[in-house]
Formats: sequence, C-alpha cells, structure tokens
Amino acid sequence: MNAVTVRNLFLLGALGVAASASQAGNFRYAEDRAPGIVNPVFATTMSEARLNELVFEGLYTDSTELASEPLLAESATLAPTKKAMRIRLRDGVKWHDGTPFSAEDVVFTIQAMQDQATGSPEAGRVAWIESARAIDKSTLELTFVGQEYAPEDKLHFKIMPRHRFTDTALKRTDPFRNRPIGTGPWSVVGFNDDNSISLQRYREYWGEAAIDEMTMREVADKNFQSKLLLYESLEGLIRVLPRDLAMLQNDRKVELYPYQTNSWWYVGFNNRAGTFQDPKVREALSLMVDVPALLAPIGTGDPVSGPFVPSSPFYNHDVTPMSPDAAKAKALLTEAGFTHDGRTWSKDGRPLTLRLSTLKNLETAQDVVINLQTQLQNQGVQVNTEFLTRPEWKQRVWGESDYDLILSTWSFDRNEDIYEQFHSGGARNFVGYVNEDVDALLDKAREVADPQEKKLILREVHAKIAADHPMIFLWTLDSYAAMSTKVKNVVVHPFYFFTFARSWTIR
Amino acid sequence: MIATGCTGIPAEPEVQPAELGWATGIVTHPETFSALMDETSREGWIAVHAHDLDSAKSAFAENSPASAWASFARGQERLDLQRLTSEAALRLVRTWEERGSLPEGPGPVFFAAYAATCGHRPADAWVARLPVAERAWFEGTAPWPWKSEAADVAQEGARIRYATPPGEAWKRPPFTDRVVETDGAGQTVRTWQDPCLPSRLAPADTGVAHRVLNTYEDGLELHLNPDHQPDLSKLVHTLFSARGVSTDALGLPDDVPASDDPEAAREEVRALDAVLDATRAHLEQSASPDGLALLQQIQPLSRLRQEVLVDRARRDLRAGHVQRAYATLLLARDVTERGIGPANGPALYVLLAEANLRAGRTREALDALQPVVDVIPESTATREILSDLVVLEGMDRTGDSKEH
Repeated sequence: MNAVTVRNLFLLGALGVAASASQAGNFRYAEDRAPGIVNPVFATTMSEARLNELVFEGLYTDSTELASEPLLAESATLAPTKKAMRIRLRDGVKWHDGTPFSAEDVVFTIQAMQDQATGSPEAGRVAWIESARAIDKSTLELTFVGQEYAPEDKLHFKIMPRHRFTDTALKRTDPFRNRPIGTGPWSVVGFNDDNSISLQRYREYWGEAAIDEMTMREVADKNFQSKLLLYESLEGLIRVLPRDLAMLQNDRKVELYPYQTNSWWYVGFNNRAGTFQDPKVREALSLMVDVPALLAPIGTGDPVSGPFVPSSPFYNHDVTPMSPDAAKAKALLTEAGFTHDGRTWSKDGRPLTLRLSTLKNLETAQDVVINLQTQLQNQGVQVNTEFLTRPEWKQRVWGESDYDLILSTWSFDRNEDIYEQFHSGGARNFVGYVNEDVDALLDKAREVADPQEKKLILREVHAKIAADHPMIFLWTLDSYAAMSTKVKNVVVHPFYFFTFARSWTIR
Repeated sequence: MIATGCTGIPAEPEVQPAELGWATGIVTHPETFSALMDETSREGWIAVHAHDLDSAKSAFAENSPASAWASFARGQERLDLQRLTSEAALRLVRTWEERGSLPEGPGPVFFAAYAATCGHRPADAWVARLPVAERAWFEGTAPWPWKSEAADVAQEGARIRYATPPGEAWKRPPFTDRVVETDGAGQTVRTWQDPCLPSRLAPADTGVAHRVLNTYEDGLELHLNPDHQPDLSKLVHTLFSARGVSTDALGLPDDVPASDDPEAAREEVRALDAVLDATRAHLEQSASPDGLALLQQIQPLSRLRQEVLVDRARRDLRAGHVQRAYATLLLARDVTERGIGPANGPALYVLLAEANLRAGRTREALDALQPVVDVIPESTATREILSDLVVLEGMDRTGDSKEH
C-alpha cells in the first residue's frame, strides 16, 4: 500500500465516514473551513452564506431564472409614489423551534441590521429602507428613502427570529451563532467534534424539500476533497481544485458545474499605514510581483487589472494587468526616499520589512504566500508571513487594521457592487482606500437609471482604482463545483449555491 | 444471460464499439487521412482542428471544397452569434421598457426592430412604433445597406472601433460594431452597438459556400439539413463535424424530445459517453501504430462528442428546450482547456451564452461569451449589448459580496 493510500484511509477514518455508498437522502458537501458563525447578520464568508441558504429565508428569493419571487412574502403592493410597500406574509411558517413567524420578525431584522451598535457588515443591504412597521402578524409596511422601482429585488436578506434576542443591538458572540434557528428547509441539529455541521429536513417546513439530511464537512486538505467525492464519501464539492478538474471530468459518476465566477484574488496594502500612504511605494511593490508566476502553481485563471473579473460589464479592457518591471520599481522606491544597499531596501536606516497576513485554510494560499515572499525578498523587500485563524482575521484585519499586506479574495454576486470595498465609507473597505473622485463616481453609479451610463461610470472607477494601486489585483480562478450524479435536478445558484437545493433529490 | 448479482438490480447491457464515420475512419485508415491532408492543406486542417476558421479559410485554396467547408462553418458561427445578439438586444429593450426608464425617441425602437429583423424574429410590432420615415428599410422600400456589403471583419483588427459622424444616424460604412443615434441637430444622443453585425458579415461566408458547394437555396440555415448537402468528398464534407455519423450509432434518440427535461439530456450524454468509451477502448487495442498516434494526437472521439452535443443543444434551443440545451452544453465543455482551442469551439460558448441568457442567467451568459470575444472580433458588440442588459437587470438590487 503506498503512502497516498494510507493517508486516504486515515483521512476517511478521521472523518468517521465509510468509503461505501452514502446513505439515501443525505447530501454531504465539503468546505475548506467550517463557517465560524451561523448568523446571517454577521456573515462575511462564502461558507457562511452557503449554510445560511439552507437554514434561513428572505422575503424574496431568486427563481431558477434568477428573477425575484416571493418566499416568506406572499404578495406585495407598491405605492404609486414608489416610496412605500405593503407586504402580506406567507401563512403557516414556523421557526425551527415551532414559534410562528410574523411581521415582527421582519421589522426586528431590519432594525437590527440598521442598528449601528450591531455593526452588521450587511447593513448596506437595508440602508434604503426608511422605516418598517408591522400592521398585524401577517402584514408589513415598509417606507423607502427614495423611489424604488422593484423593491422586491432588494428584499432577499435573511430574516431573523425576534424571540431569540433581547434587543436590536446584536452581537457576533451571541449564543445564537451556534444554536441558530431559521424558517428554512433544513434545521441545524449538531455542531460536531470534527467541525462538521449536521442539518435535518425541518418536518414542519411550510414548503417541500426532498433531501432528509445535509452535512457540511470541513476538509481542510483540499487535495483530498476530490478523492472523497470519487470514493462516494461526499456528494458535493463546492470548489474543485483546478488540478483535479481533469480527473473529475473523466469520472462518469461526477458532473461539474461552473460556480462563483465573480471572484478575484488580491494582495491588499494597509493604505492607512505610513509606508503605504505613498502611492509610489504601492506601485513599486506591484511592479515587483510576477502575477502569472504566482498563479501557475495553483491553477488556471485570468489575471485582472482591477476590481472586476474580465467578463464583467464593468471591467475596463483598456486597463491592462500590470507586468513586472524591476527598473521602474527601483526608480519609484528611490523617489519615495528608499535606498538600496545591493541587498535590501531601507529608509531612515530601517529595512523595508513587511508582514504578509492571510487566513489559515484559504484555498492554496500557502503556495501563493511563499512565492510572493520569495519574489519580494529577491528584490530587497523582507517579508514575514503569518496565517491567521478566522477570529484573528476578524479582529486584526477587519477590526484593528493591524497588518501590512493581506492575501485574500472577494466574491461578488451578479451585481458586482464594489461600493463597500472601495468607497471611503464602505463597510468592507478594511484596506482603508480613499479617493474622493472614486467616492463620487460610486455614489453616482448607485443613482443613475441608464445602464449604459452606469457601465461607463464603473469602467472609469476601474481605471482610477487601478491607477491608485490600493492593492495588487491578482486573478480570477476558473471555478467549478462537482456533484455526484446520484444527485438529481441539480441547479446551482451562481453565488449562494444552495438556493434551489429544495428541489434536489438523491437517487 | 448476464448475472444480476445479489442486489436484484439487472446489470446494464455491455455497450459495443461503433463505426463513427470520420472519427473512427481516420484511425482505422490513417493513410486516407494523410492523403487528404497532402491533397488539400495540412495547415488548413490543423486550423480547423483548432477551431480557427479564419486561418483555415486562408490556408485552403480559394473556392476549393475545403475552403467552402470552412466558410460554411464560419457562417454557422455567425448565425449562432446573431441569434444570441438578437435575443440579448430584444431583451434589453423590453426590460428597459418594463422598468419604465426607456429613453425617449425612436432610437431604442429602431434598435429593437433592427435586431428582430436580422435575427428572424417578429419585428412588425416594433416597426409599427417607428416614425413613418424610419420604416423604409423594414417595409422593403429602401435597400438594406448590409445586403450589398462584403468584407472580412478580421481585417478590421482584434477590436473594432468606429463612431459614425454626427448626422449619420443609422447610416454607416460596413463592418463596424457601433452606430450612433443623433438628434435633429446632428448631436449624438446615444451610441448603440450594432445588433446585426454577425449577420451583416455572414454573406461573405455564405456566398463562398453557395458558389462552391453549388447549392441554390437562399439561406445558410437550409444547408444544416443533411438532405441539402452537396456532393463532396465524404471525408472533406464531414471531417471534424457531427455530420455523417448517425444518431443510432451514437446511441442517441433521433427525435426532438417533447419536454425540456435536463435530466433526460444528461442521460443521453451518458449514453453517448458509453459508446465513445467502448469505441475508444476498441480502437486502442486494434489500431495500427499510425492510427493510434492519430487517436491520441487529434482526439477524434472527443471532437466528435462535442460536435454532436453542440448540434443537439442547437436543436434544443431552436425547439425552446433551454434547460436541456444548458445541461448538454455544460457536459460538452472540456473544462481542462481554457478558452477556444481544439477541445472547445466557439459554437459551444456562443450556444452556452444563449442558453444562459434564455434561462435568465444573463451574467453567466457574459462568462460564457468571454472566450469568444477573445478570438472573434464581431462578438464585441454582442458582449456590450449583453453587458447593458446585465447592468439593467441589476439596477434595483443591492449587491452582496463575501470573502473567500
């Protein structure tokens, strides 16, 4: 028995799964890392968003044609002024603890997301709502800050149970995070010792769902995820490692689905830190990086020149991805007051030493970090690396801006709205990027009603951000999910993945 | 009789290898294939294999059957692209109008009428909304400018750029990707992407195909029907295409299905794969060294697989079976090859874009189209029209983004 086989068996044993056929009605899928928290108000990662899709519901959701259709709402009437909406809620909906769902839950959710004490990264999704009022248990009235032509398109955020909280100032640490209840088709029944999360079909669910059990398995070693699928110890892989694509494509028991294509990698500068406030330094470091060489070992994809993927309506094709240029980088660093002693860049007697932070278990990040460290060190920039746990990342990167460089990714739904990442007031702008022109353009892009105008505005934003170098834009990877052919009626939502899982069946 | 084992589940019958026209012919008779390469143009067929039809057309002798074959295939690409473009353009204007923010003036209506006409869609309702003076082209009282134009868009470069001078609304030289709508004073009101660019380019290809293939039907689409195929060397006629291989040999049903069932489409692909797997295994054991080399280098069975699946998806789209087409095309794509090359042709991506668009996945249609834009310049206009639609559809939404 070779080493690989031994490791496979060990892994299977550690997961507590047999390499035989899966149980009927149990859909097991792998995540690189289990969600740190199950609370939609604080969701910041894709693994959290995917799990939330199974447990929680919004007033509206996407149909399989990706048009809004009522979910917890039953019907709605938009006022002629387009500044108010009355919503009739679906009857017979219960929370997973049996409590009836009501209009008060919707009002509570909106107020909690808007409550500044909550500090929800999702607050922007309800900022357009001026007020929410329950008329009775099944009727709700919303008023809007401005005119809304299709407010149902914005009412997809997940509804929270009011009776499980004491006030609208929610906390990430609230016990709800690992005892969540929703109104969705599956309820959480266990956070297990192996970091897996077990869900069961909610018997009193108002709608229909075919699969009895859903299991999220944390499989940190991505190299083994595909093997687990082939061994039939999983039914689904969220993202296939690019080098495994050929193996899975050639297996007749597996099918591949394009998924989450609006996603790009970046190395972010801490734009608030002294060193990086000088754009020459940011540009110089960008010019030291050979992006294709970083990409090659981890997979296939396209380099990007700004904050959109090349197929985006907003991608500015006149802005080309940066190419390494050591001479120009040297000139820029010299202009910025650095000197080079033949080995190391220094300023005021201190060597240019940077701390590169990334998340543990970020897909194949270790390869990128090591290569990036080598590339910069070869050009005289010392780089120390650190791999953070998710809570550390939340605290240090999001909360305290305690980093020099970060390696991370952003994934966007089909609207590709970068306001939160690049507006100076954006909730996800933790790199501290500020450009008044970009702020004005992003504000304008939200106001215009002409699609061609909006497209051109955001292409201009692309060009301006690229010129400012707030981060090194890396690439978008080719992304596929893989599913066992035992799973039928599969339609994958391009962003939330599980939106249509109610219709899936297992043979 | 094959044992069923202790499960009681009947064992599936063993799939037999099949004779699959050119795809098996070039492996079993490599000398014929080699002779064909020498008689025509090896470079040309290499380009065809790489799905680079413009290079193929240049490599083959002018007015030769092989050149006509490549022209025919290029025309097919443009027809597929035109269907997608017209669909996107009409959706754009309809969605814009439904939202209540369609710009005033005849420009958008003309755009829709124009897109409908060249996409062979009902245009009367749009034409009726135009000012009387603007209806001449549609009512046949003025000649369509593009009817008499012929040139090769490739000469225009990888990215076509052109803006008509003010005052020349809807009148433009051939083969540009955009037209400018002007007001009475000649000021630019709006720039529109030309929704008929692929069909305006198609006559150059169909003309060659008509002349050389000696067929008289008016319209390239008719040639898709095997009954109308001219008398050509069988190998030239069918090489690297789905034609000349019966659905029966491929293990596929011949009839257009009654319902739009994607699971049934997936089962059909599995049936096809079973035949191809068995055939490949047989060829690997029986082929001569030269044949085996061709099997490995050219991957004829993989090429045939995609051509067959793309043809079936096209048929499904025309029958309104969007979900079937989408499922088939996802399985037809070789995900190990990025972009367009020997394993994935432009038609795959264009049809995948159309299936996505018609399934409501407009943003994903742009994803599918991106590899085409990289190599087929006229698709830039299609991308921009689709982009406008994507932006419009998201206008009332709040975006969501997450890390990792």
